[in-house]
Order: sequence, then C-alpha cells, then structure tokens
Amino acid sequence: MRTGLAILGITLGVMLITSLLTIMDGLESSITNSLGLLSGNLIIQRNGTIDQAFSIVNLSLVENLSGNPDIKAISPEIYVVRTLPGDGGGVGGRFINLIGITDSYREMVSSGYIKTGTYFNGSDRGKAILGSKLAERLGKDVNDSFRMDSTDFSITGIFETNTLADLFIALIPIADARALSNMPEDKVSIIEVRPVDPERADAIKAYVESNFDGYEVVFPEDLAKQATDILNTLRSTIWIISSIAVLIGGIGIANAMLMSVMERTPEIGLLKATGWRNIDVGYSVLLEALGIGVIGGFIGIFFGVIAAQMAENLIPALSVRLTLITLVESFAFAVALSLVSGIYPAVKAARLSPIRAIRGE
Amino acid sequence: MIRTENLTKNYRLGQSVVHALRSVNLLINKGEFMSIVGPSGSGKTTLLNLIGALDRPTSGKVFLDEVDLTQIPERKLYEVRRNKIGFIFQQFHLIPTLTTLENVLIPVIPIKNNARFRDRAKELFSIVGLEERMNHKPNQLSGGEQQRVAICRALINDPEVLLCDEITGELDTVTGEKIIGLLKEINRRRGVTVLLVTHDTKIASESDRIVILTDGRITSDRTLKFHV
Repeated sequence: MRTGLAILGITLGVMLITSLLTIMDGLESSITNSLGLLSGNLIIQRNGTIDQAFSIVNLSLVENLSGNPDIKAISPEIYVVRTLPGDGGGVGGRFINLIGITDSYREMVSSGYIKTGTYFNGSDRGKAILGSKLAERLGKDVNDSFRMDSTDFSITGIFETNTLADLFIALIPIADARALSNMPEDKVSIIEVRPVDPERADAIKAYVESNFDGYEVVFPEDLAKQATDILNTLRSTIWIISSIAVLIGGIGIANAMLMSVMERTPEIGLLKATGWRNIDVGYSVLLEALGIGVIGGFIGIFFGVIAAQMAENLIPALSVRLTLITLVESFAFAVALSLVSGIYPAVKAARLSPIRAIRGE
Repeated sequence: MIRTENLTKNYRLGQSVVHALRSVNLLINKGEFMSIVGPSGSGKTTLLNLIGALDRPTSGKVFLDEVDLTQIPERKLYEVRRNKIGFIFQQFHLIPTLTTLENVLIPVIPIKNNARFRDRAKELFSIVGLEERMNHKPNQLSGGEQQRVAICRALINDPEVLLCDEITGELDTVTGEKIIGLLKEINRRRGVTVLLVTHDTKIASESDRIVILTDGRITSDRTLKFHV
C-alpha cells in the first residue's frame, strides 16, 4: 500500500516531466521549422503593428522598391482573419488566416511548398491553397470548395510546412482578400520582401525605414528567436514545476521506505543476527527504493506520453514530439530520485542494533 | 568451546541501572546440550545475546573457540554471526511473504555463489520432516512447523553453536517436546553445541547440563549427563 503510494508519487512526477517535455519539444521543432521556412524574408508593415492583419501599407511601395538591387522579389499581401466555417469561433485556434497573394508569392517560398495540386494564377478569383492540417480539419482536398463570407473558394492546392501555418493559413488571390477586408485599391496589409542575399537584409531594412515614413521592417526570424527564447524560459519553468512534483514523489519514496524499515525492524534485526553486514541491509533497502523508482519511472513515462497525445488531440495547434532524450531524462530523474530518497532509510536500517531491532524496538 | 570471563552487562532503564549479568564465568564444551534456566529478568537472554555476538558486554570477555568476541570490531562481527552461530527465537521471525525455503536461505543471500546452499536447505528440510512444505508460506504452517523452518534457517550455515531463546514458548507441550527432541538429534548427530534458554524445567531436564541464573549470577550448574 505504502509502496504503491510511493510508486504513484514517482509516476505522477515522471508523467508530468515526460508529457511537458514532449509538448515542449513539439513546440520547439515547430518554431525551428518556421525558422527554416522563413529563411531570409523581410516583412514591411505599418510602424508599431502587433498583428499583421491590422497593418496597412501603401501598394505604391512595391513600385518604389522594385528597382532596388538588394531585393530579389516583392510580394504584397493582404491578411484577413475569419473564424472557420461551422465553428463558433473563440479559443483553441479555430480561426483561419486568409492571405491574399499575387504570383510573386511563389518566389517567397521554397519549391516544395505545394504538397498536392498547383498554384492558382494571381488574376484568378475564388481559388485557394490550404495548409495541410487546415484542409484536414475542414475535410477538404484539392478540387473541393468552401464558402467564406458568401464567396466560394475552390481549392487548387495544399501546402505543407510542418509549422503552425499548416493549421490556419489559406492563400487566396489578392483581389478576393481585398474584397473580404474592404481594403482600398492602393493599400495592402504588408509587403514581404526577399533579399538577393540574406546578408543584405539589414541594408534593406535601413533603406526602407529611413526613406519611407511610418513603416517598419521586421525579420520573422527575430520573432521566431523570441519565441524560442520564451520556449527556453518555459522549459526551465517546466523543469522547476516537474522537479517539485518529483520531489514530492521523492518524499513519498523516502516516507514509504522509512515506514517499511520501521515496520520490518524485527526482520532487519533477524537479517543482522543471521550474519548480514550493515552494508547488505542498507543495500537491500536501497534496492527496494530503486525498484520503486524504476517501476514508477516506467509507468510515469507511459502515462506521460499518453497525456501528451491527449493534449495534442485536444489542442489542434499543438504538435508533440517524443525524443529519446526526454525518455532518458525522465527515467534517469526517477532512478536518481529514488536512490537519493532511499539513502536515509537505508542508512537507518543498516545502523539498527540487531537485538533491539529483533525485539521491535 | 565457549568461555565467558567475568561477563558483566549493565543497562540503563530510565534513571536506574539494571545489572543483567554480574561477572558470569562459564565454560561450555563443544557438542554440549545445555539449558539456561531462571526467572524472567535473570539475564538468560542477555547471556545468550552476548555469546551470539548480538550485543556487547559492559565488561568481561566472551571466547568462542578461544577468539575473544569483545575484541572484534562491529563491522567484522557479522562473520561470527554468519559462520559460527545459529539463532532460534521464540517468535520464529519468519518473513511472511517468503516461502519457507526462501526463509531458510535468508542468511546466505549476501554470500557469493550461494546456489550451493539450496541443496543443503533441502537436506535440512528432510531432516526436520518438512520436505513437502518447502514452497509453502509460513502462515500455512503450524507453530511447530514454523519453528522447524526456523531451525533449518539457523543450521543453513553449518554453525558450531545453536542459541535457542525460549523456542518452545509459543508452542504447546507436545509440540515443544518434539522440537527439543529434534534439537537433541541434531546435537547428537552433528555435534552442534546447543544452548537452550527456557523457564520450563521439564524441557531443561532433557539437556545434558542445567545452569540456573538468578539476578544475573549463576546460582546452580548441574551436569546430568557427562559429555564424552
């Protein structure tokens, strides 16, 4: 019974560590993928914009920048945010980000961007390219269509980036986005710029910000790096929270072992009377603690992985990633903790006087 | 051979000091079957514990085969307990979760290459007539049977001395007599020295020699049957 509680304590702690680390690794790999995807593009937006959907910039900027030798391609984009058809909206990432693009968008992304289907032409109307997970959630495929604010969109392609973008981004012709958002003809949300050489990104930023008033240039990499920083902070926090949980598990082990030592004082006395050395007695107690740690570790990892999977199913924006390091860390933590918690009871057992112990004193 | 020299043991009980043993001198020959009798509190168990290296005297010496146990450091005493002494207790002290065979093998668990003791354990089980009960749990056995398992456990390391502390105290008279009979047989066949602490004079009368302890002193030492 007490042993069971000790195992439960370790199990919960290890479960927490495993599931949280698994989720963390998933988030991190998602961010890392975004980093790779965005490589080198700059976003020109209105000064002080928090969300690009609220940014408005002059379309004429495209003309002004087109002769710049540092710039390889320019893509004006209009961002429209809507809730998913059929959904009530609200929490849980159930929004859809419609990005109106022109043909120049193709130069912004890598060649393997479209997974199935094709791009639409910039002059088309009522076409869309969906992120792979978004399409999955809508139950749509290439050539299917969906309705958004009384406009029907037929799907020409599915893109996949293995980032959160797959989950809520739909690319549509810029004219449709303009109609959906009532954006004036001479404005767009942002202008995405691909430099000739990533090294020149700072030069472009300086050029734009000094020559055109009211604009700022952001590097999505910076955002991603910030996100990674936040994740690292989060990771440390998770370690601390989990450590507290595991510590409680450890106290559980120590308590169970101590009680078990006290309960079995006569047995320990007998072991000593029949010629067990102190170290033999201590070792056997430690071995028992280790057993609790190993069993608790295994069960904890098992349920931790299941918990992470459940979290993934509940929150679509979350992708979990189980790494060997997480498994090893969680298990090692359980084992190390059980050994540390077993030391005091082991020493106590080893030091018992055989005659007093056998009388149960 | 066991020899005690002015063996004295005092211990503190609250404010007062209890003189459990007062300068006891005793010589026990190898192969003897000896009873130590006396009222409770007379120091019988203390004497047994000192001979069995479970406790340290306040003063005096205990020689086991001319080795002074009081000079052996605590960390080495396990060798004496393991190799020379077999203890049997009133409450059997079997571990309920283990089978009787596993219980018998407890003393040899820390010994390397202890597989060889399995055969010896089986042989001991047949000597005490429990070969059919080796895989039973202690609580499936009667008191007398449990005590016989405890005898096997005491004998597993082939000790020179069996120290028996009120071993019939939890048993009815008939069963108790059978246990004593078994010990006598082991004593006779194997030459193991047996020290029997009891307050049952009938059981004591089965032995070769009776020592009476009163207030920590030997007040009588009678040999009924000379050991050859």
